[in-house]
Amino acid sequence: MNRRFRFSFPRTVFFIVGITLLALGLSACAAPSVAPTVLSGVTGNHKAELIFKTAVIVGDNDIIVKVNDAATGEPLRHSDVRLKVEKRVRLETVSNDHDNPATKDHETAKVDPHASAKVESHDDVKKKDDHDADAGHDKETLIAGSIAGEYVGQLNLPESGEWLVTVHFMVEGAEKEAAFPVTANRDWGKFAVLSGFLSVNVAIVTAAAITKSKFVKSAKQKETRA
Amino acid sequence: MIQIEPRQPVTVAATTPTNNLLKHKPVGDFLRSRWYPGIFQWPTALVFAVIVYELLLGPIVAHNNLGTALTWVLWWPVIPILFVVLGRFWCAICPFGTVSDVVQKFVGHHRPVPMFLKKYGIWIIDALFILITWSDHVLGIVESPWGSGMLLLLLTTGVVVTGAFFERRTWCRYLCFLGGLSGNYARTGMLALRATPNICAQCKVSACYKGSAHAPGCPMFEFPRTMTTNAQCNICGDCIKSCPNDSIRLTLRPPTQELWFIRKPKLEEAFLAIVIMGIVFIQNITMLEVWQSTLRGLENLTGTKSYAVNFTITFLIAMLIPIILLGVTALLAKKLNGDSLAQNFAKFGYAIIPLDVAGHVAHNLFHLLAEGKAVIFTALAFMGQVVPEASPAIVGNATIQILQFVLIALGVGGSLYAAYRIAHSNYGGGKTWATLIPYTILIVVLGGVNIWLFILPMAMRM
Repeated sequence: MNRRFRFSFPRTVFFIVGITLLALGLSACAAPSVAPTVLSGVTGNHKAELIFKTAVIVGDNDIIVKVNDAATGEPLRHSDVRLKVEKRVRLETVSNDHDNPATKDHETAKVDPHASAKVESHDDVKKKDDHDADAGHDKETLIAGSIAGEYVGQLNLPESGEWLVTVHFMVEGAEKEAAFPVTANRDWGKFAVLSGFLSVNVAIVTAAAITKSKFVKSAKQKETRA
Repeated sequence: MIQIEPRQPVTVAATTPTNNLLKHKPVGDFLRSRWYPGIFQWPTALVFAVIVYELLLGPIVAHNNLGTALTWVLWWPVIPILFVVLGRFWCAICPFGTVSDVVQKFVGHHRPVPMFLKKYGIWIIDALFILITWSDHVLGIVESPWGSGMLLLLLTTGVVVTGAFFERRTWCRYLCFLGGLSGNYARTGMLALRATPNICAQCKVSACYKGSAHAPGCPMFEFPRTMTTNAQCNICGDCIKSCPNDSIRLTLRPPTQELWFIRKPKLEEAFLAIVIMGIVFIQNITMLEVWQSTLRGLENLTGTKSYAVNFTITFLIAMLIPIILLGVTALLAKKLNGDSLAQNFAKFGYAIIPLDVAGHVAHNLFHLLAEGKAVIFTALAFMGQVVPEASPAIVGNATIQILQFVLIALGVGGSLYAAYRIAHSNYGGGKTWATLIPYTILIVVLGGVNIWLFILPMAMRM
């Protein structure tokens, strides 16, 4: 019972596999949701959808805005789609029902000078000056994606908390708008995944360092015997 | 593994003393100096660190990410050109190799390479290459900086494991998917490192393999004395430094020359060559503007909107077409030259390599030339500078298309000539031309498919 634990090669492999599974398992638990966040609602005759490619996080978010005719499902093509981001201050007055966009209430939201929506597109490669986008006061234009009725862009939410994202789009010369309340959380998952990788690699190097002298010694003994 | 001895004596790169680059004092001194290859290796490692940082913690959209631009717009298009000019030199300075060397230096066990890796290494590389290409499309690795960063971290972990426990560059030789690609492409390389057989016949120390006080043994497990291919030599200079007899020569040769005299064709290497053609096809197809409508059609056909399912079907078809085409051609050639199907497949699979390289470069030329300025724009943004509002294109689409056609024409020419030389060195006489007919048709068809894909409009990566 008093035997000292010794590292052997199979034990080292077992140790590394164990640490790897543990670290990657923990990382996966903490990883950000990869499922898209879909918010939708009807405004007038049109159904607007605001899609975040993952969970809504603090920092840059990839977004897609889809606008279709509510009755026929026909996509709204060649529209001027703009986005406005505001920090919400009175949460209780805004509906949290994701299926119905909140009625925009100017008293419940204020413009945050740090929030921004940046332009991004699959088929347009013009580089947007980040400095313009960072101002965040004006509505930012989204650009048509590769699928009809889809407009893509990037939304920057500089801090955690409740935000109001308003989508403005033009239909036959008239401006329509749909507001979506969102909650941004810090993306700790990213750091958890990185920590997982780091700990796996540190574990491998540590295991190799611990078992190195033993392996070298036994290799020398084999050599001497030979 | 199929081993076939050619009818004619093997001729390796022209090796007269006059074209030995090591005889030129500045070149010889530089390659023997302690600064080589570190002078390239460490700056590359630094850039790699910046890339990993940007991919993991930089802008989440590929369009704005310096890591994405440096990796997929600059490095990936340039790397096959490097292989053609300098052979596997990239592998000597590759940051993964550097990580392996550093880990090995401090904690390395230097265990012998497991037998299964030696036996199935190239098949593992083939499988990894296919898996990574598939997952790139299904998981969107290239389009997502985070995904690209994860791929680099996974590879780094593999490198750390092999560096910590196994000897030399086990990862680079037996597991690296890029190593498999570079091994094949390097056969077309214009730079060849070889030993001088007459001098080596007198050698009793084998310092090139075992190492000496001046440098370690060959990190790629090669014995320069018997080396007849560029596939595993990364021109790290260790054998040049260790050899006490000045036997090593570094010579220039015409591109693709090595393919004309493959001594021991291997089925797995030929398979990789034809798989790369399939990968070039799939890369082209998925970047075409018609891909989306094709996908819609597939969705209707399969009854599912799952991208993974529909892409996998397309992927399998695109990968299988060149393999089946080469198989059928080998079957026809079998009747004409008397060799078996496997022998034909293995021998003439190598002839596809010039077209592989041409197709790879031509496809990525679009990214390099149509999106090249993105490297500058993202670098400016990385340094906190104002990014100009301008197109990232370096030249227009018409120019790129002409260059793509020229490259494919060169690739077809290189492949046809390699097929001719392979047929000539193996059969001779009337059998040469008879054998050449089906392979000529195959190469022209593959070249034609490439040209057709380049005619169709393509979407951007950044």
